[in-house]
Amino acid sequence: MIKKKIIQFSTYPIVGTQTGGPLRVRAINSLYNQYFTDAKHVAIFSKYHHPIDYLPTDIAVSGELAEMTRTAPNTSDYLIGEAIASDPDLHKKLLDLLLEYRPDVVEVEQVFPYIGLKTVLEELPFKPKLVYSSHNVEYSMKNDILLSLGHDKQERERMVAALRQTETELCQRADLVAVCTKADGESLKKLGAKRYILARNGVSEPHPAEADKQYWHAYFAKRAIEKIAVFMGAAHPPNMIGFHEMISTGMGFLPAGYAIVLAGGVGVNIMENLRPDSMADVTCHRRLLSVGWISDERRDGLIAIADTILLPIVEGGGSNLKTAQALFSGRPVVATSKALRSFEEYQGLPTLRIADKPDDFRTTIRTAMSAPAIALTEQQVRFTRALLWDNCLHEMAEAVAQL
Amino acid sequence: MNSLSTVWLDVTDMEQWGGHMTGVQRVIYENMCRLQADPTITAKGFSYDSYRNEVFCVELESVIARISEVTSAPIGPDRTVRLKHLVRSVYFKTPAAVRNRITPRQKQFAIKSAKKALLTARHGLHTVRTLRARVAPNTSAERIPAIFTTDDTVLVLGKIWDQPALVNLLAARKRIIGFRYVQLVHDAIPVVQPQLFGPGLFEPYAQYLFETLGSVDIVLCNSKSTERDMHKLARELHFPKPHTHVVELGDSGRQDIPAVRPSFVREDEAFLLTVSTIEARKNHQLLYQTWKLAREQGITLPRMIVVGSPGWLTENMVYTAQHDPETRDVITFHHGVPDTHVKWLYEHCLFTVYPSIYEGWGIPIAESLSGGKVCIPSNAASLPEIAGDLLDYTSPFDPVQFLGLVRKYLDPTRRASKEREIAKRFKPRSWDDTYAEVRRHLNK
Repeated sequence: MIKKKIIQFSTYPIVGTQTGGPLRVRAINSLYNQYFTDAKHVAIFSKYHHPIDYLPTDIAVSGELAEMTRTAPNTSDYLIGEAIASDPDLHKKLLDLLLEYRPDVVEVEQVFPYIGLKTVLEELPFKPKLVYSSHNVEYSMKNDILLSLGHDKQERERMVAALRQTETELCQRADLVAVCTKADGESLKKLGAKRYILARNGVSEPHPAEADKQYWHAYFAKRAIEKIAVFMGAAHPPNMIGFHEMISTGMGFLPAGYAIVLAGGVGVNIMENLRPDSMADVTCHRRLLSVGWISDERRDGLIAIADTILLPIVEGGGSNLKTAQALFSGRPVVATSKALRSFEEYQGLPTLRIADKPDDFRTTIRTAMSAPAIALTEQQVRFTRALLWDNCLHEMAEAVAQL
Repeated sequence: MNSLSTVWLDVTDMEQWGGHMTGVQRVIYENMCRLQADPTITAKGFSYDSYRNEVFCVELESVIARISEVTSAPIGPDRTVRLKHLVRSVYFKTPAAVRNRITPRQKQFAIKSAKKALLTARHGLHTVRTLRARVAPNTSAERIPAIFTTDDTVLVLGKIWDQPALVNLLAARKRIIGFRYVQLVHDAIPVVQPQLFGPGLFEPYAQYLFETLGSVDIVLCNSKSTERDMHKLARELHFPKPHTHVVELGDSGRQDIPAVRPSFVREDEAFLLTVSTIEARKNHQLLYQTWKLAREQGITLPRMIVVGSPGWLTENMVYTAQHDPETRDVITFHHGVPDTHVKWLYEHCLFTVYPSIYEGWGIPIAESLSGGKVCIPSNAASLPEIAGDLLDYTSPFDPVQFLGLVRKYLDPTRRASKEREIAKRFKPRSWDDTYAEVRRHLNK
């Protein structure tokens, strides 16, 4: 074990049932704790979005900007960064924390905490190493998201310009930049990153319990559903955009008895936004259902019985955590090429079908669901084990150790 | 078709038959009679029991017999007219001495009482018929479930959208058993033109069309327009291209009834006619605008007689037309007009109009032409399919164009010329032809 103290900052807690970003941070934290003497994570977060699942050491923002996060889930990360920069109490709290902890390494998870954290770091009487743990090229991702949501143009441009400036500063100042994909690494190099380490997203080894599998079998049998294709994800705009672009609510391509099952916030969001005057939307319930937010155990059970796992990803940077999960599961997968970003070497898996046009994607879903089950060979199973978090993040931890 | 296989006809709509046949019931009835008489197939009927969520066997002979019993009864003038004659004959058979002692007030009272008694009797008769037709078959202990087999064909010609659970039941059985499923789609209007209906219909109708596209082997459409709509919906919902065929419906209604002049029209009056439910889709609004436009331009148009049951989304329009001093006497609305009166109106009108915004087919046009009368329909949806270039069409949204066509056919010479052309070129569609088309698709 290497004698080093590391502190990670993110704009969300990492306890409880989590989605992509928090899962990655949790995995990094868990590996750091195996490598280093002490690795601490602190969330600077909005209680409006995380009312229950956080640790006493996490810090909730308050004041006007915190209020603003309530109605702006898609810009709350940016607003939290601004809150750190503008709230003297919060600034002091973080300064005191760092002075007391005296970390060797400060790791910024995604660019947002750095909006306010940079001035805190400047005031420290010691100089910890700085790691930028990138999940995407954030300024560009934020631009895409706000554009797709029809956000006010002036406000969007202002926010994206500020983010780009901050991300550039962070890349230039960071002693190490970790990225999810090579493409992200090259983009961040252009912003001034000296070097980058590829640390793609991975998966925790699932252990589906028989009871959870039985639960889902009974759940679908009760609804006369024989075959399911699962799309799992948070209510993160790229997930909804991917669904609507590649699948959409016109479910005629699936025969009766087949269903697409949405799990997590993506399903809740899609179902809440169905239009009562659209024929596709009012009839989609015949082949589409949302099971809402589910526990990790139920999620593992659902993946284990899925006839197909869907990855309709059309935008966003980073490597997809859902992709690792799907490829590792050994279940049939229908994905876009974009979903395979940084997992390109898995294209030859017999369980994987790739389709990039919406019509092809839908047809492929039907084909995959109807096809007989395919079992991976032992060699292929070993190959997929490289997708486990520890294997994906190993080089990143080694690089941090050498700082 | 395998010689042992059976064609199962859904006659659920006929269980609700109460003496007067709707358009959909007419379609079922005409095909049912021919199916039953077809020696090349085994025909059986089934009806849906919503209480038990099950389909039960129905003997087609008994349904046909029940309807024939009533419809074959000698038909004289309308019942109201007959009753009036009866009252008058009783009155005049009364000795003059007694008659002269009846005061006008007593006479008025007697007439009022007779009318009330007639109304009560009608309601009573209707209730009895409804009970007999709907309740009795559903409560019979002898009902035998209809068991479809793989080789069978299930034929649905009726208003299955009224029974969402039946739509689901047939789809589920089809999935398990795999019988051949043939269904007639009368229209997709509540989905493609939802603004023309009140709230509540869009969703169940959408479900019905979704399941039709998802389960039915052959979708029979009553027009090319309906067929186009079904293909468009299939594309939008990402269904594979559906197997559709156009089956034109017969035109011939009841020819065996006398024509009786209704009291609201004079023997020598020149009038125009439109017959349809008074609902927003039928576009009576255009009549009001056109008659107003004519008035503004100093043109006098004959009276427009509007015959039809009150429908939906037209209350304001009807109120306006009925209370506007410029239209209240020249656009008149008449509900509950018996077939005998409608027949007279068709025979004596100058010509008919049908400016509907959207239709699945458009029977009133065919009825007008069958009687040799000119019709001015709109150019919307299926309407031009009925008579092609034989007629002049108006935009349903253009009173100027419509007024031009009305004026054109008010000219006796041009009207007579068009009537001669109709007599020469228009060929009414027969129910035999309709059945032959349906039968062709049962064969595949």
